[in-house]
Amino acid sequence: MKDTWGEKIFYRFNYVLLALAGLACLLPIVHVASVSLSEPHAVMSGSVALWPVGWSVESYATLIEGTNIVRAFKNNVVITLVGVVLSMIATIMAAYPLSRSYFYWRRRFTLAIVFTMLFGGGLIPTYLIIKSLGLIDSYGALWLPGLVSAFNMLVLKTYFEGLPVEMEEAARMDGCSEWRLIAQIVLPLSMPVLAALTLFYAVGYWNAFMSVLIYINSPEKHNMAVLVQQMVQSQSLLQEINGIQQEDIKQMTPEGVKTAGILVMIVPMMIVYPFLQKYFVKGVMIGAVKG
Amino acid sequence: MNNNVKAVSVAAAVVFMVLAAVGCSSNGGNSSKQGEGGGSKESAKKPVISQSIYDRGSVPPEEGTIEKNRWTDWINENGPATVKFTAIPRWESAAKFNTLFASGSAPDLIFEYDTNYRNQLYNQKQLLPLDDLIANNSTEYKELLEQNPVLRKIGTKPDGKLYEFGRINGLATNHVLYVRADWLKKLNLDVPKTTDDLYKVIKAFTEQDPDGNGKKDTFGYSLSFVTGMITDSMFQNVTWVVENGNLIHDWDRLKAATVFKKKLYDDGLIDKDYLADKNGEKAKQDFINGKLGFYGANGGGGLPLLEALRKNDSNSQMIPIELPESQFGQFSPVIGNPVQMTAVINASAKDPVAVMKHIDFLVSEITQKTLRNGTEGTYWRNVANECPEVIVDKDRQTKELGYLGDFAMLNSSTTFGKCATYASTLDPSKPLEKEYLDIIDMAKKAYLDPARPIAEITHGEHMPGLPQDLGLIVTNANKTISDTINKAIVSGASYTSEQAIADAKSTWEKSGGKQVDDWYAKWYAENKGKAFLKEDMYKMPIIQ
Repeated sequence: MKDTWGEKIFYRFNYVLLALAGLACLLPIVHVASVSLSEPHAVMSGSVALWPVGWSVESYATLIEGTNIVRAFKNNVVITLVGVVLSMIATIMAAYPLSRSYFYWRRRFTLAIVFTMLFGGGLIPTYLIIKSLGLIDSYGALWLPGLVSAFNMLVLKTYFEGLPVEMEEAARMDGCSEWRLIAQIVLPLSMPVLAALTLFYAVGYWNAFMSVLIYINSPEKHNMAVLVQQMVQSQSLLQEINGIQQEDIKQMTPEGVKTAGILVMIVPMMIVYPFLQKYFVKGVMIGAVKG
Repeated sequence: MNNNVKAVSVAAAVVFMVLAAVGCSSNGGNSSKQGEGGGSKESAKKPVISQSIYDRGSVPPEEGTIEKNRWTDWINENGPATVKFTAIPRWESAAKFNTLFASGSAPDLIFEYDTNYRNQLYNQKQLLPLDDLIANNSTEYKELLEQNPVLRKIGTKPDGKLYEFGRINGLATNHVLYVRADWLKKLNLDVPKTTDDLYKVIKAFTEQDPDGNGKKDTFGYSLSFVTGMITDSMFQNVTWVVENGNLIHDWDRLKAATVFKKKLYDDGLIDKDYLADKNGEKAKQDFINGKLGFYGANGGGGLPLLEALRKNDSNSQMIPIELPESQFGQFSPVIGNPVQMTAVINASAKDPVAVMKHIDFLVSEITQKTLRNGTEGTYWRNVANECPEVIVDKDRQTKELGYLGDFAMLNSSTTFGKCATYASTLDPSKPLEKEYLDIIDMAKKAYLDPARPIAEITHGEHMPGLPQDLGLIVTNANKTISDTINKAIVSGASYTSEQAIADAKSTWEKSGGKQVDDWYAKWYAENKGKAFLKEDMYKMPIIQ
């Protein structure tokens, strides 16, 4: 079928618009990358746009030798890997029973979980609970409270419910147990949604900031979000004139090092994204008709 | 069916076991961590206290962490107590302290620059009064207090008790207004003496091609960030001013400053996008690139500025100038805080006496010197009648001493005399550093003279803390008022300065600003004799 004249214009217009939107997202990152690779002098005089001026990896050298970015990076990897594995296991284990029609009190459990999406305890009560559990200054405080995201769990539950009942019946007919059913029938059929949820959790753990700041006291356990934020903030705090100290000005992180830190933090997620993104659309459509 | 129910229940049980396992393992990690604190043999005898330390993420990996490094070890070996350091992220300190207080695990000794936050702790009764503690258990700090009664004056809270430890910084410049001296010379202009002169110079800088490139691509002035604040200082536009011995809310100065700024904007003498340049970064770049004639800089960082400017234009010259005189008098821009409060003791500290001994240790001369320059013999050598000679190379200095600043929050400049200054670290044999030394001297002369005092009634950190409800009024109203003023500056003929001031006044009244004005007026009437005001600031020695 040939596109009409009107449709052609519409598509062109759409392409241009999307390209612009894409550029608007891409250019700041290119700029940050260029700044991190430029000479300090060029950065200071603001002559860096989208291409590094005077190529220099000094910022990265300072970042690695002068700050604990390497350790923070390792911490990020640990927090993310362990967190994602635990969260995925727990989410699957919660979603599966709730998707089965024969599960006793299924509705009540579901309602109880949905309830947590509407009401939260707030920072201080949560902190006190974490503290009384003895989780302060351990990664358990990051993994445990957010172990299962109610929203993600509901997405997965809905997906499970949409799987053809016939397949399950056939498997049972052949003597398949519940565990084997999950492992060999349900999960392989749910790859798209599992990939999407993995990405959701991974991005969440990778960027964890407030929880690390509040619960983790030892600097050697801090992740990159906290470290990079401390570097970047030094600039914006300058605006509050009363809070600014001579010491703070002296200890301000150079612009190039800040941008290098930002880049080190976002690049791994940027690399992971395209590999999981193809599952995205298929996975997150709750209740939409699957073709 | 029954079997299925069972299996699902098993699955659920596994989830809970995983949860429990995470909980247990982390718990174990936590308790083993606590054991690490005092490992050495001496620590058995020494009392254990805890102290906060700012974390800026800037400790090099080989040095350990801000909580455990060569200097924390040094403090624990040489000090009277075993100190457990608690890292506080520098830019999120209030959030971190709040959660620590809420959970009862705040450190005994708290270092915090933010006066408002310390006032908040005082209002919440979280602080320990220090009068008796100092009288009975202190030697070094007691002596410092006796030599500098001003420390007691400032550290005393409305209930008449002393709550804060502080240090003497001495008088030092902070905001500096630079002008391109080579441009002045080229266009045959004098350094502006009044705000009218200033306007003429700005106009000439914008229109007469001071960089001689044949293009009209320069701006005379900027209103973003520090330069804008300095402009307010010229007109003493600081909201509350003393008139006839009373502290009143001023609108005339606000109007005069607004009229001046609006004129600059209307005549195209400043960057039209100055409002987008919130941290002055664009103005700084313009100045460095020879596109801007005046630039207001903040604190240190002058030498890199000069360096960058010279690199772009070898004929360029920048000099600091006295602020031009306005119809309200001649003033200086914001200067450094000469006496600064930095530490308080947690009211629930278990062993306040040990904390006091630790403070005494921190303010003793040998500790102050070590926390500034490193240990004697290793990092520096004493030279008669001179400042200590550094005997380690630059790299080692940066790496091993670079993060010391936050340990030295009780260091007084008076301990070091002229060696406390940034100038003492410069080398006059290098031409650029020599030139910057001259700039420092010019700035000192221009801004530290009581004949041209700062515009505010006192340094911002010594303004009284407003009660919370009044503070909220100020925060809310100020936002609207500054938007109104900005709107007037950029709207040309359609929104006049008069109208903006009238609107700002009405915003202030509607928000309940009168209560705030009354509160300040009453505070000033009652406290002008005992508060630390600008007259007192200029009694402090100049150290820079």
